[in-house]
Amino acid sequence: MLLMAMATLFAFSAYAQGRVVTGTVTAEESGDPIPGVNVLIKGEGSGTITDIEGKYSLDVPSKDTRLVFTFIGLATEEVLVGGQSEINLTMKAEFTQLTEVVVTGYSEFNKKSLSGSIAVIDEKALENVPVATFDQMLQGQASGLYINAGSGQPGTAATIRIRGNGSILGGNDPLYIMDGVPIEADAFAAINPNDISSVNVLKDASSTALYGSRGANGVIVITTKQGKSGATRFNYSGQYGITEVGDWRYDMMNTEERLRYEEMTQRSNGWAYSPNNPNAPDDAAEKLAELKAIDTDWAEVATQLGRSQNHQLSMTGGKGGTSFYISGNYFQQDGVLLGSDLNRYSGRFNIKNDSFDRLKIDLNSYIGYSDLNYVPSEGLSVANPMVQSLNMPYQKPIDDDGNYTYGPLGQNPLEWRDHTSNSRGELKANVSLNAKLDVWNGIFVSGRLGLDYRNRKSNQWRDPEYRPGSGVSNGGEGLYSFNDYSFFSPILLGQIGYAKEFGKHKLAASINSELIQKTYSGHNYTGYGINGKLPNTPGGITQGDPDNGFIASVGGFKESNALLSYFLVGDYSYNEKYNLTFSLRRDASSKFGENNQWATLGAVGASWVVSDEDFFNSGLISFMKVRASYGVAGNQDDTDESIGSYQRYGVFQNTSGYAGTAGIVPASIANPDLKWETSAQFNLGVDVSAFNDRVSLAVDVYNNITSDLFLDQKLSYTSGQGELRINAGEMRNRGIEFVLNTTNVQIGDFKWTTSMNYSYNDNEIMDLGQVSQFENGTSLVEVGKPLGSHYSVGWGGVDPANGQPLYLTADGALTPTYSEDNSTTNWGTSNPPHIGGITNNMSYKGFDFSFFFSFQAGHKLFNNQLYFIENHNVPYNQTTRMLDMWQQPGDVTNIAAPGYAREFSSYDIEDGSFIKLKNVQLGYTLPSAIIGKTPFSSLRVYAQGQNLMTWTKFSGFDPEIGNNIAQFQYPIPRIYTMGIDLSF
Amino acid sequence: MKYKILTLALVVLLGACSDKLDLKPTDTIETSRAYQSFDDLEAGLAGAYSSASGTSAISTSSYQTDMTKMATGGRNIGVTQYNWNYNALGTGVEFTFGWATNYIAINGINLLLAGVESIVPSEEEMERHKQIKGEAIALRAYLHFELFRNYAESYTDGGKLVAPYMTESVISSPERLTVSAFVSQLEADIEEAKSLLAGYDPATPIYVSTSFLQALELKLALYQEDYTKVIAIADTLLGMYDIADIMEIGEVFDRAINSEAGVIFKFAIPDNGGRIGAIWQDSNGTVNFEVTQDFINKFSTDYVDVRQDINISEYDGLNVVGKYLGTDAAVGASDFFVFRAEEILLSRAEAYYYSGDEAKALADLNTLRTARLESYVAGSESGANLLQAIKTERAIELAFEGHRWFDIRRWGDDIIRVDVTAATTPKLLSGGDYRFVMPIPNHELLANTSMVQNPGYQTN
Repeated sequence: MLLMAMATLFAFSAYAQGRVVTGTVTAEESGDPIPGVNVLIKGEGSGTITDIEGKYSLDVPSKDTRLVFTFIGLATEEVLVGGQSEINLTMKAEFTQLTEVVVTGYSEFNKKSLSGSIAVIDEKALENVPVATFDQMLQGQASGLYINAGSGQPGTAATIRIRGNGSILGGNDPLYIMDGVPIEADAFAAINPNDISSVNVLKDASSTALYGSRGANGVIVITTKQGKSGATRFNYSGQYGITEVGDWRYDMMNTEERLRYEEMTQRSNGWAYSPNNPNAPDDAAEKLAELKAIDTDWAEVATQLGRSQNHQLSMTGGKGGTSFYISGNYFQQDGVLLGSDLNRYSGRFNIKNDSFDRLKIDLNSYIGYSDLNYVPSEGLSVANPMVQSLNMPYQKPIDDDGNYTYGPLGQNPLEWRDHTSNSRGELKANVSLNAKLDVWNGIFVSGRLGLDYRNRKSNQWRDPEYRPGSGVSNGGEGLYSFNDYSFFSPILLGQIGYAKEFGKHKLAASINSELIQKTYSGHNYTGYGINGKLPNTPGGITQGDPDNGFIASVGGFKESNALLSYFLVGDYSYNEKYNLTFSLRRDASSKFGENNQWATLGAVGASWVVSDEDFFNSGLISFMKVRASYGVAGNQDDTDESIGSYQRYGVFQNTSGYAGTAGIVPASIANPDLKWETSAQFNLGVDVSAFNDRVSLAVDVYNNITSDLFLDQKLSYTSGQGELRINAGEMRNRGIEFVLNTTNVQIGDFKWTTSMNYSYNDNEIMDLGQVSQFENGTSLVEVGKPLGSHYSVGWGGVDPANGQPLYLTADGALTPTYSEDNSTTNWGTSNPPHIGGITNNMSYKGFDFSFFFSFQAGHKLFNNQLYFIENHNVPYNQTTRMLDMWQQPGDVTNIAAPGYAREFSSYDIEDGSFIKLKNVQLGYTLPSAIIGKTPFSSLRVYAQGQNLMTWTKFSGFDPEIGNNIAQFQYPIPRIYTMGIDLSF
Repeated sequence: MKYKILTLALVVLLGACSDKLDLKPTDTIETSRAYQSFDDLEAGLAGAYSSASGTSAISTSSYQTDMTKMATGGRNIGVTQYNWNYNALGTGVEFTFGWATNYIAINGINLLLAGVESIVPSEEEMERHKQIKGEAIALRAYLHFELFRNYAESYTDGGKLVAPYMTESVISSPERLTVSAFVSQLEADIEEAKSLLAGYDPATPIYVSTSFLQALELKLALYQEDYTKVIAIADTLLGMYDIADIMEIGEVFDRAINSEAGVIFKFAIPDNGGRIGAIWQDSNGTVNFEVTQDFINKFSTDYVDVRQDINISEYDGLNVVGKYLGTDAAVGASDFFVFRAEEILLSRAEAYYYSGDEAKALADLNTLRTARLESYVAGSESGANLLQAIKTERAIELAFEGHRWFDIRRWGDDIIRVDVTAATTPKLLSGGDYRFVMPIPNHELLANTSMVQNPGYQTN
């Protein structure tokens, strides 16, 4: 494909020469020449671009030709060529926030006429961030957008929510659209963020209703970099740095502390060899000295200092209406836990042709491959390196004979690193091909073919000679497993539209049909009895039989679903002052039964640019717009996990059967009434700019009510199943969002701008159908409470008289008796109601400096880790807080005396609020006077730090755990890099 | 022209057609397609056997009695049952005593029976078609008996409540039937299955047969204290099955040998199926429940009892359950023994005793003891001693096979523990305590408005 496209390019360069116009484009503000301005021949789309000195030269067909000069951030200018052969132009700055084009996937809007609520994140926020996936870069960048990394393993997807959780069981991931094609959520490891030019977050019904049955959770629209025609320009950007584990927020005991603790609790070595122990053996002092000579910091053993590097080479150019963007990228990052890393290789080819008078064609194509080594577990498992840090400080990682040592966990992190393998190769391809043809007098037809493909091959290996392999249950001699998983989703979009301007009236409407298919398939095997001489290959597997116990397991699956939509979209604008938008659609999902396969969804929106009215006496306020929208969006669970492709069917499944006869058993009950969750969304917004646009503010309020929630109705087991997934209940999210952009200082060459956003979301469950509450893990889903409410017995402290732990009854009275019946929901929710971010940018001459904070507040997290690190009854090393335990009557402490059961209580629920200094960056751009003497057209060097500081009361490793319960999640790394951006 | 072609091509995109939405399950079988041929019935029956083989009776009879105690180094599984702390609200309580498991299996059988009715067999399939129906109904009866002995408020009072008796697959909110109504449906199923299975003599005791049905009928009669019926059925069965002798009994529980001596019915459980041994011990060796001294003390001190080595094994200094050791390749794997001739013999001994025929009761008891104790000289107990001897013998012979809890309940005896895990472990559950009747799970009460709880349990 690439070759073919290259051939096309060369063909275009053979165009004939005509009349030549030359000139220089300069900026009004500084008087400097502007490189990179698009100079286009109006109506043809062909053109050129200004060089480093702001100069251009262009062949024009006639003197009636009009040239269009465009540059991001500057007002577009149009000039009639006439008899001129030299056209010099001074371009003025433009109020960029309101003239940006906003891409929603199906259509492009001028931001000024928007009536919905859309947050635009431009490439600046995504450029050079030393993080593997783009999703994590969005944290704190837009109002209403919640992002929580969850894992520091490079390549792992973050948890993302737009305006809270709209569904209980039906998936809360937003829909992701890349260049018009839906892409899989939570699978971004193989996507190169450096190719992204902008990310738009669609939040309200009028923006998302275009996505009908999939837009209820909001939509994230990603646009990749497009070519600019003109002389071919190259850009290299590279960075190199280190990754390290952040602050260990809990302090594990060292040898001295551990032995003292053991003595205090009269347990284990510290007591056995204690001089205070009357039964101590004769050689106690010697033994104690031996232990004291060792002081292992297991946190250090289980972690590593890693590298991070990124190299991107891109080229862009084109001629005669054809432009292209080609990039190649290599990204590598080590994880901070032993043995984990990511390597990614990717390439992109985007080409656009509008040189024909009526036809526009563009192709965006991407292929990426990521190779990931991951830690064997990120959860509550002895294989998790974070858990292995609970080994004893008086235990050497490797003994004097060179053998791995095993502490209370029975596992050694170094052995896992050296004698197991967990890896994953992921291939991702995205293609979108678009064609638009003007038929007659404003009527056009267009079509889009797109595909999203991902293949993941994972394998695991356990060396039979070492403990992780000898502990394997099938034969105890290691294992090799392989898992192949594929996702394939083609889409087909057809559109007949009409767009025309009549004086001040602007009308656009289209009817569309769209078909989206998704197919998942996979297969796997696990073989046993590994030959130690054949590491990490399926060749090492021993053929199994009933005697050797090495019988391999095999499995696989396939599944597909489809969505078909017909929809009508209309926009009307009068003088860009009064704007109306409208959409209506019929959607059908193969997931839903014949009774409810089709749904009608839609939205209306309106906006009014008040400042354009004659009566508006601007004064300090230069711009003001009021927006409102209402609509109904749908959710059919795009994750396909909660509402599977065949959820509505009653089915039988295969079983191993009985005595050699294969069997079938019923597995589910049919629900032909299953249908969409629907979300009715109301949004009201105001955009204001003042003080010569130095201050701009956008405020949005919204009220979203999800109805027909996917819920499990309890059935009498006499019907053969305990539950049936149905539609019932209601949940509300309402909130307010602020975005404030200010230019604080602008004196001479010094400029300081601040961009702030803050969002408040209030979630409440209104109705659950059959029941008023149900338990869900450590939380209670209850009417009247927010989703994610922790459900626990209250902690009452420690009785100073006897060191006994006290709990609270449901009424709040102290009691020494622990009973789950006293559980309440007084402990807050795990979903933060307050989120936001603050970015500061400063520039002085060639220097630029920025720092960016993000915060999430008002939520609580269940710290399940405390059960293992603050518990007298487990054999693991403990935090130093345990040394404050109750020892004698009168001691006031929160740590009970030993000898009592360790129960889960509100002691384990902690404030999860945090502020993070996410990124600090200092850069220097060489001035054009100097760069002009080099072969380069621009050069910038920079140094940055990522995740530098976290302020929180949470005592787990990091409050960014991605969910409600801290279970030794992979910590988010701190990263320092230096980089260079070079154009030539 | 080329634009016209393009226009046409783009317009065609609009015509994406709706047959793309007609996607059927690929990895599962739509219920309407499950039973289409005679072979499907065999598959359904195999599924019915495997889903009917739940072993909650074994864990109940072990965790909740004096036979085993929680091991201190264990994973705390079964703690609620061990401490008699279970209630209607506990997590998973719908599975602990088989409420969900049994009804799920019954529903599968009812769907199979609907399939049986819908498929017209060919001439040569006729006989097997009838057998499949008989086997399905027999299993349905068995599963309902399991519900009966767990959830019936009383085994003998015809007016007390049991549970719904399901004979069709339907989403509904059925009421609990009375003991007499439930038992009469159960008996009707047994009778129908008997007539369908008449003359069917499976090659191995892993398939249900008329003997299975008789053994089930006998057990129901024993629970209902209909001793005449117990004796009559036992006479028939013991005429067909000899108990395993002193040499054979060890081989019955040795998975490598797999002797069928005295076995009337057992569920075949494959190596990779639910390993019964896991009720007490994890496959990595962790012991969760160990055998109590209370159980060891039941063994005769005068004779060597071959069952001592069968029932008790040593592991890591602990006495562990030895009946289900499995093989090296499949630790803890075992078939699930449901009816053995020894149970029939012991039931007849008990029936004779309660019918006042102590001599015959003693004779049956001695028959068994002779087959288990080395160089045994016939015993001569009478009266209360004889009854106690029968009970003790039943505890030893049928240990860890899912009987003891229900036997103690039937007898109205107390559970008295001496050897327990912790100072806080309860040691006495008095006969007739409400906890001998299992709680109707809260899930059922929420879902089924016709449902009522058993006495003593709190509901939410």
